[in-house]
Amino acid sequence: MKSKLKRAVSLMLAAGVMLSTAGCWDRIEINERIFVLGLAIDKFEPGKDVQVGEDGAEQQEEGSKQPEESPRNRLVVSIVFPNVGLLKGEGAIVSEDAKFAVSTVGPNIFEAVRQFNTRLNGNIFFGHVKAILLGEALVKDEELLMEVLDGLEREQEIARNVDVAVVKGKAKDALFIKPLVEPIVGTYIEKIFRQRKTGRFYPKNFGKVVTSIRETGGAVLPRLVVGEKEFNIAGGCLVKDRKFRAWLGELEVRAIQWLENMAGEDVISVNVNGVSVPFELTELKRRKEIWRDDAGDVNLHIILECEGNIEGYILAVDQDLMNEAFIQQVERAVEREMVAQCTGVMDKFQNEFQLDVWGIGNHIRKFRPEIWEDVKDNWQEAFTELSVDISACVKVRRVGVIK
Amino acid sequence: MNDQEKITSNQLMAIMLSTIIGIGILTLPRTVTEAAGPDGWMLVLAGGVVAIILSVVISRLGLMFPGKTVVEYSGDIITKPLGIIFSLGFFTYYVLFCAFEARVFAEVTKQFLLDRTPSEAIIITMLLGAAYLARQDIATVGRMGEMLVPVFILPPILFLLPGIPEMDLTNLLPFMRTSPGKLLTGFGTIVTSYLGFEALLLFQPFMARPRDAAKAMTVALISIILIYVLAVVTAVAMFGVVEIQQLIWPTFAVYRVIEIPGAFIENIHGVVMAIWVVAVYTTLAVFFFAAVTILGRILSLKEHSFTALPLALLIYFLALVPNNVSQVYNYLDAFSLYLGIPFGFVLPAVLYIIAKVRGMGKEGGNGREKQAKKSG
Repeated sequence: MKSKLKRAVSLMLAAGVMLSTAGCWDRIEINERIFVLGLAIDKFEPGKDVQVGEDGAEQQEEGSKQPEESPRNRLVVSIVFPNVGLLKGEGAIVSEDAKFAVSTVGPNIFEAVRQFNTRLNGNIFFGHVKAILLGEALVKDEELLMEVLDGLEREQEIARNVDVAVVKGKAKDALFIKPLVEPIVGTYIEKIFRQRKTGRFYPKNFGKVVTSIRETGGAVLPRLVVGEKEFNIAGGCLVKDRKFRAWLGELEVRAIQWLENMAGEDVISVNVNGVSVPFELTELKRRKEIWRDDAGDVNLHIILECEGNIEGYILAVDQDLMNEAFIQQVERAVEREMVAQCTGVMDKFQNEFQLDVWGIGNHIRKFRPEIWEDVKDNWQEAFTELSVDISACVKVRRVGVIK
Repeated sequence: MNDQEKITSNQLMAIMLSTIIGIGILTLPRTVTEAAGPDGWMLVLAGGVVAIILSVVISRLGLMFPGKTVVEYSGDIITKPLGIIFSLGFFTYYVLFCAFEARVFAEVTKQFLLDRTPSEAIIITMLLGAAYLARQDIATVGRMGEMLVPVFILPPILFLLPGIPEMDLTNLLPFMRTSPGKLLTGFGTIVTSYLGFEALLLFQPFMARPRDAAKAMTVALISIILIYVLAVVTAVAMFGVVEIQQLIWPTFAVYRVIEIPGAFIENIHGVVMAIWVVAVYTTLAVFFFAAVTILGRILSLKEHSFTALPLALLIYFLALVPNNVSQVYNYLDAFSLYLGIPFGFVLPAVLYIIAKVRGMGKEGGNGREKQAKKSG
């Protein structure tokens, strides 16, 4: 009798515990989620913001009205997310489009995202964001840029390794185009970033960008130009002193990466005997040497050790790329070209921008702490006075399949 | 005590690993870097050595009074009333430690995993789980340790491998350029990340062979030093000394960068988070068990298990006291300084010295004989 009662009580207790503790406040079915793949943030500029969404649908906060200039309207936030139903092959309920893009205006990113909640029926989730795009006007606004970067870094859903780029013009436009090759803009950008077949843009992830801003006071972000059915990621945007400083050309960005030991493969064309010879750079190693000369000045010697192939010359009967003297000629020409480009960039950063974007100061702190002790208090000035010597050592390894 | 099961030295090692690794490891890379820059990992090493020395002292203290826990022998050493005050303090220390453990757990879980679940629900479920274990005997705690330690130690280490290309070990340079004064001030905060080893004061008499305690403790603490150093080195290598100081929980941030190539789950962050829950549970459960044991022994209870649930209620309310995450960590710092260091490091050493001076215990007894012979 007693044991029966005991059993009944314990059963009831167990059932009670299970019923009251099971369940979860945070449960969201996967098909209720809106997986944001791309996030674009612009500064709100009244008058310039003619907002047309896909299918001509109005993407306004309030009906079809143009958003007014008000202190509340500071940012334009746009997101792009895939049509999960279509991708799964189950047929979409709403449209044939592979992706949806929407945009809204708000005082900050977070409030803008909440405004999406008034229009979209899913749970907006940033855990799979592949790319963050910042508009040109935003990057030129000191206060807004720092606010946005802080917000993005603070948000735990957004991973630190998401790709980031600055869009020439409006970042929003990049999300609303229909790219030829890959329908979803976020993934499209991510794939371009991962190729590493060219050094013409500097693929930096979000964590690296904020680290660079904190450590050196500036960062080079990739520049993205939006076209009709594609976009082009090339060149860079230099952020310094908390805001936009200058656009950088493609070759400059490539040279910056050479000096940072970061570049992917690339082709450098040099003029040898009046013929343009494409040299394929396959490997690059950079060494830095720092010493103090007798006068007490800090010297930096950067050595680029490169390997690569000759990809073309000119069709002729008497050509001979197997000739070692010719190969050496090409090597010297490439060396001259690389050193010239790097020196140009170094000079620009030392004198024009006065920004140690390579973290040379960090390098000195790590490897020559005794020198760092003297220069750390006014490193920016010391950097501009640094006497830098750049040299390259190029080795041609292969010349293709014909002589 | 005789009716309770005994623990082996392997189980003691498992208990120590699971107790010491808890909430501290999340913030450790930041705190050591704030204290010592790139030399932070050496502070971790030094703190661990101090913890080893103290645990050897504690084990010798325990050997002087076989079969007794600190609650009983503190009475023998510093008179009964003072011993009870010491034990009550020790009890308070563990209760507060439980409260911090539960609260930090709730803060981190809410931030990263369950942002809509109320803190109260997170804390209650954790405390109920811990209270369940605290009602059992030490052998159960030992078996739990043996089962769970591999679960929360191995996977997070393996998950670091795909992150190696992202790491830059030169971030640990320059070597030994931090001023000794700065290192010393930092040292005080770092040793507290080893708190938990002092539970040996309670657990040693439950060992099948108490003599093995010192060896087991040394092995456990060396493993913990290695794990801590690994956590610090990977975080510094990944973020550099400047950025790391901005991250509240850098150990988690590391897993926010790592992608497992081609895996179904792209971000292993959630997995690591779930594993960390286990590490917190084991810490909380052992501290809870320690608190319950001390209370039972102060009150000379035959059966300690019924105190667990009321205690859970107390811990629950204590855990909800701080207003925000910043206050949690400020209180935690104060707690480590004013209770952690005294109960973990100072008082055990003081007890040992007094016991030695008074020539107490088995070994002390021999000493007294020797002294008697000498004077005679």
